[in-house]
Amino acid sequence: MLNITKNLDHKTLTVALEGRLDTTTAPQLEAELKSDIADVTLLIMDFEKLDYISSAGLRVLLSAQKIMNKQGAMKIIHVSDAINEIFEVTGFSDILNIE
Amino acid sequence: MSVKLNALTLVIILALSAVLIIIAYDVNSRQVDTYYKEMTAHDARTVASFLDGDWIDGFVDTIQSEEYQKLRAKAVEAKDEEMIRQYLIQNGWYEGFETVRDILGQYRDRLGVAYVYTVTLEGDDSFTIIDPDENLFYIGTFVPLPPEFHDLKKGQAIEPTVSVTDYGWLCSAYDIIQTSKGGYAALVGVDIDMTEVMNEREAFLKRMIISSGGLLVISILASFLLMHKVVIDPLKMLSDATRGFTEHDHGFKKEDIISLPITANDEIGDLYQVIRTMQGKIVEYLDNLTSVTAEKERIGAELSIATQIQADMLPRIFPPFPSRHDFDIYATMTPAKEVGGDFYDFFLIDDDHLGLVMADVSGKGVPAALFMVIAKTLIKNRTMMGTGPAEVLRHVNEQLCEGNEAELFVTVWLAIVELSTGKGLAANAGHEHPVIRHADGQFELVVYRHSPAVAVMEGMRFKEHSFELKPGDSLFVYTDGVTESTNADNELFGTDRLLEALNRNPDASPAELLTQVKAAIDSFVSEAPQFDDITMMCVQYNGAEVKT
Repeated sequence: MLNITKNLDHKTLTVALEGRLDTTTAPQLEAELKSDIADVTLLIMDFEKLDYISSAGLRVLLSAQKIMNKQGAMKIIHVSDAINEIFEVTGFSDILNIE
Repeated sequence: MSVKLNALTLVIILALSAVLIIIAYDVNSRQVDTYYKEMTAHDARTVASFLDGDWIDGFVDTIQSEEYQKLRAKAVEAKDEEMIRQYLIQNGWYEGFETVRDILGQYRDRLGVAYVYTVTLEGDDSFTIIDPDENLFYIGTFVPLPPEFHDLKKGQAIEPTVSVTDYGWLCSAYDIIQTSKGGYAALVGVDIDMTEVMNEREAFLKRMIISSGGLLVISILASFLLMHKVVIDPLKMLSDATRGFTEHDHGFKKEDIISLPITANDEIGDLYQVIRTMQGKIVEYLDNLTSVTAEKERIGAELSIATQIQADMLPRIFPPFPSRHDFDIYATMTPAKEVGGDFYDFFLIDDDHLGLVMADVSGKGVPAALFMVIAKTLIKNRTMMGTGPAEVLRHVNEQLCEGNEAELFVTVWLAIVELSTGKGLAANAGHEHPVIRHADGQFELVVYRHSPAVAVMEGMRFKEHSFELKPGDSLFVYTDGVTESTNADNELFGTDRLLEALNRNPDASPAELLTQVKAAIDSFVSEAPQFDDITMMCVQYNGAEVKT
C-alpha cells in the first residue's frame, strides 16, 4: 500500500512516497531509509502522491530528521493540504523542514 | 503379496521348463531319427551293390509266373516247403537263391540290423522276393502296402521311415538293385530295430521331466526360503517396528527409533537406514517444534499479562468519585490484538482541580507499552505537583527524551479544570482535536494549532490555552484509533462520522455517548480487523451548584 521510489544523485537522496504511510507501511520506509541514508547530506522526501500519514509514519520522519540534523539536511516537498494539516495539528510543522 | 508373487513365478518357471523339455526332446528325436535313417539307407545301398541285379530280375520273373504262383499256393495248402525247393532246383534258381539269401543273412548279422530282404512293388502290394528270416513259402507273396506307398513307381527313390510295426519300432530304408544295364531289378529293404532307441528316448523324457521337476521344486523352495530370509522377513520386521514407532501416545522420543538386526548392504539395508534417518529427523523436528511452541506460548502468556497490567493501570471504576456530582466522567479503551500505547487518565489534583489526560504513544508492542507506563506516571506525578499543562509537558518531554533510543514519542492532550468555575487550561502536544459541546448545542471540533508531540526533541516548549466550561457542557477526547478505524474498503471513520455519532443523542450521559460512538465504529468497520487501540473519554460539567 506504500510505493517507495528512491533516487540517489551524488549525496542527495530523493525519496518519493505513494500511498499510505501508516502502522503497516512505516517499518518498510524505515528499513529503506536506514539502508541508504548513511552517506547522504541532503534527503528530499517527495510527498506529492502520499495520501495519508499516521503517528507511526511521523515517527519515521522524526527519526530521519534527527539523523539528517547530524549529517546534513532534510526537506519535505510537494506536501498536500491534507498532509500539511496533519503536520500543523501534530506540531510537526515546527520540527520538519517543509517546502 | 508374497503368495501371489510365488504363484506367478511358479507358473512361469513351469511353462518355461515344459517348453525347454519339448524342444530338447524334439531336437534329440530328430537327430537320432536322421542318424538312423542315414545309417539304414547306407546299409541298404551297401547290400544292393553286392547283389546281382540281372539274376534277381530273372528270379522275379520266375516267381511272378502263373506256374510258380500256382505251385506255391499248393505248397502252402499242403504245408510242404519242399515242393518249392524242388521247383527252384528243377528250374536252376535254387543255388542262386541260396547265395542271395546267405548274402542277405550275412549282412544282417554283420551290420547288426534287424531285417534285410529283397522285395519289389506290384501295384499297391509289396512282392516278397528273398527274405532270410522267412521260410520258402514267403517267396513270391504279395503283402498289401500302407497307403503312403501306393503311388510309388518302380525305380523311384524311397525316403527312409521310422515307424512302429508288428515287429516293434523299425527304421526302414530301401535301395534299388540295378541290372547290369542300369535298369530296375528290385528293392533291398533294411530294417533297423529302434525299439531300444525308442525306449531310451522315453526314458530320457521321463528322466528329463523328473529331474527338471525336482530341480524346479528345489529351486522354488530355495528361492521362497531365500526371499523370506532376505526380503520378506526383514520387510515384515521393518514394517512391524515402524508401526511400533507411530502407535503409542507418549510422543516421539529418541529411544523409539527402530533398532533391528539388519546389517545387509542391499536395498533392505538401505531402506532400514533411510527409515532410521527419517525417524531421527522426525524426533529432532518434533523436539524443536515442542520447544518453539513452548517458547511461543510463554511469550504469548507474558504479552497477555503485559496487556492486562497496562489495562489495569487505567482508572476503570465508574463512577470514580461517587460523592461528586459537579461533573460526570466516563472513559474506555478497547485494545487492539497487540499491546499498544494508548492511555487516558483523570484524577483530582485537589478538591477543586480535575486533571484529564488523553495520550497515544507512537508505535506498538512492548516498547510502546513500556513508554506509555513511564509517560503516564510522569504526567500524573508532575500534574499532581500543581504546575500548569505546558510546564508539565515540558518537564515530561525532558524526562522522556533521555535515552529514548527507540525514538518513540507520545501525543498528549492534557487539561486541568477548575471545578468551582469551569475554567480550564489545556495543552495539546500533537494530539487529536478535542470535541466540545456547549449546553443544548452540538458537539463540535475545537481546531487550533498544536504543539509537537512529547519526546520528539529536547528543550521544547509547549503552548497552553485557557477554556471555559459552562454547566451542561461536555468535552470529548479520543485517540486516532477512533478516527482511523478502517472498514473493508479502506475508508477511515473520520471526524465527520464521529461528530455525527455524538450528535445523534447529544444529551446522553458520557457513558452512553461512548457506547454510542463505539457502536457507530463497529457498524462502520464491520468485519475488518481492528489495528489500533480505540480510546475515548468524555467529561460532562454540571456546574459548581450541584457539587453535593
